[in-house]
Amino acid sequence: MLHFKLSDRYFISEDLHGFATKLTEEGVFPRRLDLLFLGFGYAVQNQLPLANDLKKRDLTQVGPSLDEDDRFAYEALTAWYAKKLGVTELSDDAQLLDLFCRVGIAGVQALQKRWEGKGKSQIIADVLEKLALPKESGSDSAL
Amino acid sequence: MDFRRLTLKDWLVYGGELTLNFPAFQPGSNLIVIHGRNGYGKTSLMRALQFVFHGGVNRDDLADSWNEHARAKRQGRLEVSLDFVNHSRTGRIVRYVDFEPRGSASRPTLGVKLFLNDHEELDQVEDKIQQLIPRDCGQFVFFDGAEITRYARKQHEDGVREAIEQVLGIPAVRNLRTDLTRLISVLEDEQQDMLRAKGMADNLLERLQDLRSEEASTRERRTHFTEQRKAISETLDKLDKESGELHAIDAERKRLDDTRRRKADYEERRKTIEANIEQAVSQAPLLLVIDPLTHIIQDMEVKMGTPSRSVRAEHLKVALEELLSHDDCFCGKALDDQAVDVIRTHIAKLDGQITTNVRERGPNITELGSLKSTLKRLRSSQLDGKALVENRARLLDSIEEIEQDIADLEQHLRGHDVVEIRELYQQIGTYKSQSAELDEKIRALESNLDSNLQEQKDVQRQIDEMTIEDQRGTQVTRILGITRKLLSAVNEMVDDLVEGKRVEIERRASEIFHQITNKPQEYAHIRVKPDYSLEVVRVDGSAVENDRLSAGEKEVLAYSFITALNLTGENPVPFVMDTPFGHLDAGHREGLLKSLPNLGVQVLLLATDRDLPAAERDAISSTIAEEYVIKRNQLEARSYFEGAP
Repeated sequence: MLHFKLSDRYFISEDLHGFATKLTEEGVFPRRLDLLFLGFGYAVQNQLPLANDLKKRDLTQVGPSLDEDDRFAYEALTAWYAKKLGVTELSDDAQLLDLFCRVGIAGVQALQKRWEGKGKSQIIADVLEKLALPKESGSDSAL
Repeated sequence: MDFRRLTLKDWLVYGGELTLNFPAFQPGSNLIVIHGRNGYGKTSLMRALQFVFHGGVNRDDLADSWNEHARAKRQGRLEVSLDFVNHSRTGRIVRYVDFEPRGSASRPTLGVKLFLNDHEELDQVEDKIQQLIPRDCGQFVFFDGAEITRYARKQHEDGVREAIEQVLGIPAVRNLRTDLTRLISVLEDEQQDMLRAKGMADNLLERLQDLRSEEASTRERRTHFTEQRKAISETLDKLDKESGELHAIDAERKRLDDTRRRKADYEERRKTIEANIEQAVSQAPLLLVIDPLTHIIQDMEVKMGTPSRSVRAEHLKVALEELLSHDDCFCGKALDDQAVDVIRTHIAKLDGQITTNVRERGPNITELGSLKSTLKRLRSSQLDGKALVENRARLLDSIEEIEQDIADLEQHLRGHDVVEIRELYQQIGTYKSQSAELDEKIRALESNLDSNLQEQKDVQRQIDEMTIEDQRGTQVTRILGITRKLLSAVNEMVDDLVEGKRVEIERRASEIFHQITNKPQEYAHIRVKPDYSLEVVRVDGSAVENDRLSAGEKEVLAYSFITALNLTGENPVPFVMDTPFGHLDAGHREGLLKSLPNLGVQVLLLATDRDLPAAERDAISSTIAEEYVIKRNQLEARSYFEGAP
């Protein structure tokens, strides 16, 4: 199983960097990176294609940004999604991270449109209500 | 008393000689209405009546009272005369001022005459006029609506109380008491002189003197303490009122503290919810992909069930290397060189099968465990995002409301000090203690006084017994005994009389007040205190602060008292009311007009058309005995009367 290289950096597209900064300053997310993660989840859930033709803007290093378990999850999901999209087999860690970020950017692009005109409270409500867990937990078959 | 005719000669705005005739009093038809516009001479008429009874114009101002046309001549007479009937006897007062030229001005000479039955001129004129309407009582007869509110003040000016008692006829009785006391003193002195002349009862006389000194001293101290207690009581009333207000402030301060605590509590809860929301937001990305994660784990578990070739080789290599580290085989037989070579060869073969290519490597236990742990954590998350958002919104609304309450309370409490409240309560406590101490002292003094008076009686009785040894002594003692009994009876009578008059005034004033007031269901009656100051009492028994009464209500209160005073007095006299309705609304005015026919005396009502509009005048027309209109000849600058159309 491939893994993100801890010394590498996540990235977002240049045109979305301002949007991410705004949401961070307004207190919707603690970090720009958290928007990227949410974008990744949204893109996977909605089976969005990769974002291409973009100018990269670096974010934080992989190393300290997440705990190990969550990072493993994103790594596994990225590899799985790559297969789903029919992307050529991933050859190295750098490619895995690149794919993760492009999926995330695709999701953030969609979220930007979704949240146009909305304020902090409305965005948070959208995030939480969209993700409100049912009272009963899901199947435990994977556990 | 009835007024019958008022004659003016060159008085103020009235040039020449003019006469107003007043019909005799008839019950139910006692109003004499004199209409006049502002500046035409209504007040001049009232001043004429005041002048004829009491003078009251400074010598320097007499010329100003003289009509200007007459004054221009520098010589002549100003005169006001009033014909009246009092206790069925006719009389006339004539008060005049003769002016003689002196230099560029005129020198006035005042004069007054009083006639009985038209022809009999009386002496001691001013004294006799005083008996008709005492000077200090004029304020209760000549009724100025603009100044009437002073009657409703809590404390009367010096002399007003005496004036009120004069109307009630109380001074005569008090004078009798004074005379009797003086007589007793004279008789006792004579008694004591007799005994001293005989050289008798020195010790008794001395003892009596001591007792009387003690009595005077005790009374003085009692008066002093009583006044102190009264002052404290008044201060306590004020402080109680303040404390009531400050008590309310204190309660509000406590409310503010409670509200602040509630806000702090709500803020804590808000922080908790915000933290939960933050946690929920941070979990959101992975929550979106629970299903894919589940599939990934399931795939991994399948692959783990059939490990890859490389993984198998790696596992086998580890086992063989473990075997080489021991001298014996797992079966217990020793490993010889040939066996070791075989094992090493096999290890080399396995090396060729092991790959570091992660694509060829299957999932490992650690990675699978991590993913499963993550999925478990996500599934077991108790955070309900929607509920969190709703709870936070409700909490923010509550906090906003509380902040508004706090702002309102802080605004209201601005300027009030906690220390101020505590100090006030301390003050009240101190004053109450002082008042209780004074009560105790006064009780002790009264007890001493009772004992003193009893002992005086005993000593006096012994002196009486010793005095009756001769004829003169017997006579003096006998008269003394009678006089003392008379004084005791008069004392009781004075107290009863004063209290009876007060109660009577209170009753009449309350009746009149209740007829006129706009709040008959709120105001129960008027209270007349022993010093004749007034209070309005509500139906619940509480008193209305005079400052809380409107100007109109004060006028009604004063009017009720004055009319009641007149009716309760020894010799009711006519009322003269000059524009009395200034502060009254239509309701009060109507009530007052309706009460006028019930006053039992003539009422001279000097009114503008605003005081007595046509409709209201028509409503009381049956009670009007006579009506005049003051007219003004503007070319000649003089006023005159006409009968009303």
